[in-house]
Amino acid sequence: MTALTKYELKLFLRDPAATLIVLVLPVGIVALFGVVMSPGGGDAIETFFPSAAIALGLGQLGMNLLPSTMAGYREKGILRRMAGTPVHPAALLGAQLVVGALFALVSMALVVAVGVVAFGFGPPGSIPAFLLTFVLGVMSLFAVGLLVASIAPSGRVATGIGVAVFFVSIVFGGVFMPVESLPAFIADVGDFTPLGAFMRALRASWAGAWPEPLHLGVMAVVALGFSLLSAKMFRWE
Amino acid sequence: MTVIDVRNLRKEYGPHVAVDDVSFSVEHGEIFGILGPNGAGKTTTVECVEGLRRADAGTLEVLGLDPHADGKRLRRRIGIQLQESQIPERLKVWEALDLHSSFYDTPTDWGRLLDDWGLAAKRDTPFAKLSGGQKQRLFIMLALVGSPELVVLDELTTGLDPQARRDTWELIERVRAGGVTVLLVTHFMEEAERLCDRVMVIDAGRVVAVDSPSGLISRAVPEQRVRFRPSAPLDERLLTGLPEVTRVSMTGTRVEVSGNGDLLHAVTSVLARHRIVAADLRVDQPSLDDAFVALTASRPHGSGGSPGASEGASDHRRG
Repeated sequence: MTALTKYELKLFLRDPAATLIVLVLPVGIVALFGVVMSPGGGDAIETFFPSAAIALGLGQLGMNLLPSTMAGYREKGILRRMAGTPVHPAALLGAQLVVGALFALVSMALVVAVGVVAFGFGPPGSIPAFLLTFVLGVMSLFAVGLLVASIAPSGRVATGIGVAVFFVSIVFGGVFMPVESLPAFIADVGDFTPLGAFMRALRASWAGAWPEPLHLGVMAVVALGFSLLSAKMFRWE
Repeated sequence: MTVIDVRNLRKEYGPHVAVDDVSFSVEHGEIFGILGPNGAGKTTTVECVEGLRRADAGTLEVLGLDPHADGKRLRRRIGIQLQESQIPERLKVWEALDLHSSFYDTPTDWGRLLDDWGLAAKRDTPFAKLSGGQKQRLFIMLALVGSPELVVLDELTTGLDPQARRDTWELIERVRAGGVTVLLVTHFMEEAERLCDRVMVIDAGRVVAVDSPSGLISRAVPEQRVRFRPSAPLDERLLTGLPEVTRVSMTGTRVEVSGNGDLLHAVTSVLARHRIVAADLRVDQPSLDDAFVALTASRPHGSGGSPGASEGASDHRRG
């Protein structure tokens, strides 16, 4: 199990696209807007940029990278090969989730550190609320990825579904544009999407408030429901 | 000691009967081959032996264990090479070995495995950069890394060039020399003939014959043929009088003699006694190929009368 995690970590680091999307892109976004905005005025919009940077990185990781890798592993018979060893292939998926969570944590920490230290964004106002939001957000986004991996017959199809889900999510979720400037209808739908709930809860905790129960609830329900659903639907070959 | 004992195995996928009724047993130290046309049920049979699929009916015992109920314990003691199963592209050779050895309680020293199998120079090469033959070599090593008592190799040499295939055969013989029992699924007759102590031919989910390769050949295609051009006119009766000869045909100057037993010796002795020289002498030894065709070819049409065939042909659709 530990060896599996170690090698999944190595493989993740060897995939340049993965590091680019999960680490470089979010830090780049927070740096870019740090330069453009020169934050520090305490405007509500200032919570948008670091939150959006985190949501973009984690959304891509959970909805796109994880399902592509998992469906690819099934397509190439890697899961099947595992089934022929004493270790169940579920351990391989578990290792991927652990590695994904580790990178999500590093991505989040880098965005906060770079945004706050180098560009003058305010730090998250409520650390417990922020951490709870992060944990629920990672779990719900990974659960979406697991479900995509369960449905998609191949790695390429998983990538296609993942990218589509991701783009719809960032528009409705107030990640592409701040929720303040979205039409009410789109914002209302976004409340019930995992990425939208994650984004809103991130911004609330960044502003020092406790996130709305609705948003925490949406993330929890998606995390649990989609995980159970994929456990039922996942095919090993 | 019996390593694998399968009785009346049956496996269906919905309306399709993949394995109808298969029984066989494999002894310790054997290289046992499973031969059959595409869709005959070879892979399904070995997947039941490995515990990866649950049999619908029949009893299986592998290394004294029930493959389905004791799957995990069994897979600690066997090594499996599955058809079309890869490893991640960017994983290096030594990493794949190190990772797989972590799955077992008493793994072999994979460093020595690398030397023994001549892949030490490719130690740091990612899987995707290996040639087809090197990949197969790595797959065998991965099947061996847990010090198994039994290895199952499914279509191991499919897609390899002839040289790489021959190299792989030598490696499999070395595995057996190390005391490991080998279950080999193949559709290459030459491979089965060269490697296997015994071969089971299955067709449409049923056992057609189990025997040594030479036993299968003499059962299925007992007839040999000798062809030559006599140096002098030849009286047909000289040959038809021989007990070994069943048929003689002459076309132009060519003579073709069919028969069994020590046909060649009988024919050449007669010719020598009559001072006839046989020019362009050719002996057609039937191969496992011929035996396989004889054993399986007639079955889909329901005649089922091949020599050595089990009772009654059953016509199951091929997958």
